[in-house]
Amino acid sequence: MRTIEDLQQSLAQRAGAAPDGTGMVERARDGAVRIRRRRRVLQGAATVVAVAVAAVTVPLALRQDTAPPAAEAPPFRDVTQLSLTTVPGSDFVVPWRQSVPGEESGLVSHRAELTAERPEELTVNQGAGFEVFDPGAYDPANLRAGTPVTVADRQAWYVPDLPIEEDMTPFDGVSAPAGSTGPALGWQETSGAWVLLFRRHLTASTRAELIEVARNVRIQDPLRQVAAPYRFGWLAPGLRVAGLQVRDLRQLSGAATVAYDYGDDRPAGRPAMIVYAGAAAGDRDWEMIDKELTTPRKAGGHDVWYLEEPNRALEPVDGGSIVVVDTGRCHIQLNIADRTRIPKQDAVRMAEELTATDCADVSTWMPLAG
Amino acid sequence: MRFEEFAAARLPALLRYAVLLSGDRESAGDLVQDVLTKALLKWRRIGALDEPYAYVRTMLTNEYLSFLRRRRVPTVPLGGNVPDTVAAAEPASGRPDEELWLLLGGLPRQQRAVIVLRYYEGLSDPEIAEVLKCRPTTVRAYASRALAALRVELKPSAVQPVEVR
Repeated sequence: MRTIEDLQQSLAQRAGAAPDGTGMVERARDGAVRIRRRRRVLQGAATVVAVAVAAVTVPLALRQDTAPPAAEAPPFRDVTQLSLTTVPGSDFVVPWRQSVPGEESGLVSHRAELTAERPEELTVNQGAGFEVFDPGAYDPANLRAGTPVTVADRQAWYVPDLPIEEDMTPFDGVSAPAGSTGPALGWQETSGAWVLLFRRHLTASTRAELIEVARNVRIQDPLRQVAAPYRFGWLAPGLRVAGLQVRDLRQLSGAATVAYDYGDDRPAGRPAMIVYAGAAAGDRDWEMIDKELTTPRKAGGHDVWYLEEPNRALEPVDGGSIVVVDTGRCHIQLNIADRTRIPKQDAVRMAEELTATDCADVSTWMPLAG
Repeated sequence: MRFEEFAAARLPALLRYAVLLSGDRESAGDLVQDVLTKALLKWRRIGALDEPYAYVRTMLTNEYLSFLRRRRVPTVPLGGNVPDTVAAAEPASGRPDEELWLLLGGLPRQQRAVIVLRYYEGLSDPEIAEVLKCRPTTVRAYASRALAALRVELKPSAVQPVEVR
């Protein structure tokens, strides 16, 4: 046995091996400039990261502390349908979003955030996280206790400190959501769905900016079927889309992550399969992954590798597997949780019979089947 | 606070934190570079906060744990082949903490983050819970499992109070 002091000493000593930060600030600035100019976005790992910031800094789920009402309501949207969009001519865009049963969430950003060379000097609206709850999936009691606001003929409420629960890993079920509070503006659609716009921090301009964002978004009718850069020709029996995250803004390199599971509910733990699809160009992981892969099998015009054992680049979960697909324009990875339910022949068949478009060009993406 | 001022003051600390999380210099550099770029894009907001470092550290932690990066290499393999690790960078050191370091590298990411935040960054369990977006009880559970795996003896005085919500 060792002591806490041993551990602390070891950490302090090992921290001394940290790399030198010389040039990092300059590279960060260069990377940010590239992102905003939309230049070479297909090569830009930093670009991908810049969009993915929504995934790590915006709550992935936002709920009231109280339990949702028990009353059943008519279905509003399928997990593969997207509801929130910006109004025509808007200066706002939705660079990233996520969908799980009952909830769609994401980020609404000002267009200038994507194009300005020095965004830290911007004075435009800072945008908002958004959440769209299916009818019956949200208890509006705390919201309705806020200040009534009329926005674009909608009765909305503003709350400077709405209880928020965040779940950073909604598909993996590894952490419990934690509560905090933040400024939010919300309203109910005629469909019964609730829309919330929120920020993490309250400033003097937050309320006005949330109202401006609210004026710039709407729930589209009909709902939009989400698109992905691939389509399965064959899917293991019983699998359905259980959740997804997409970056499908034309100005930025696209990427899609889709969780598949059995049944209609949000997965309680790790879903049966998670499929990652991203542009081959600029895939910063690929150099390391490629080194570890053996001779691929060729199928459907692309290279396919099947792994059950971890290597230095990829690590299937215990009892699971990973299938890697390189189509030339896309790197697609099927992470399978349980080989007894999805054996090798099924995993490989899914990979071999899939059709892929250009991951980087969202205009080529195909509707994702539920 | 300007971005450059922040970086000048806090970049070394972020790199030290990152190397403990990721276990190797290269990944630590990648993590910090990514997070700096993201932070710059959001600096108008982050720079106005009371504690930009805490916010960026949370960004870094989230990046390390990020769902979208899960396919990335486990940074410190459990097996003998550890070419990219800090340990490997000092292969013949025979350092007394070699086993501890390898055990740390074998922990699940959440547990490793809890250990580093608690025993290097000096955060309380409620503070760690805020960073990890989980409950303090979850932090305590992660810490307990991690310490057992690391074979660290927890003296009664070392048990940190946990706020249960």
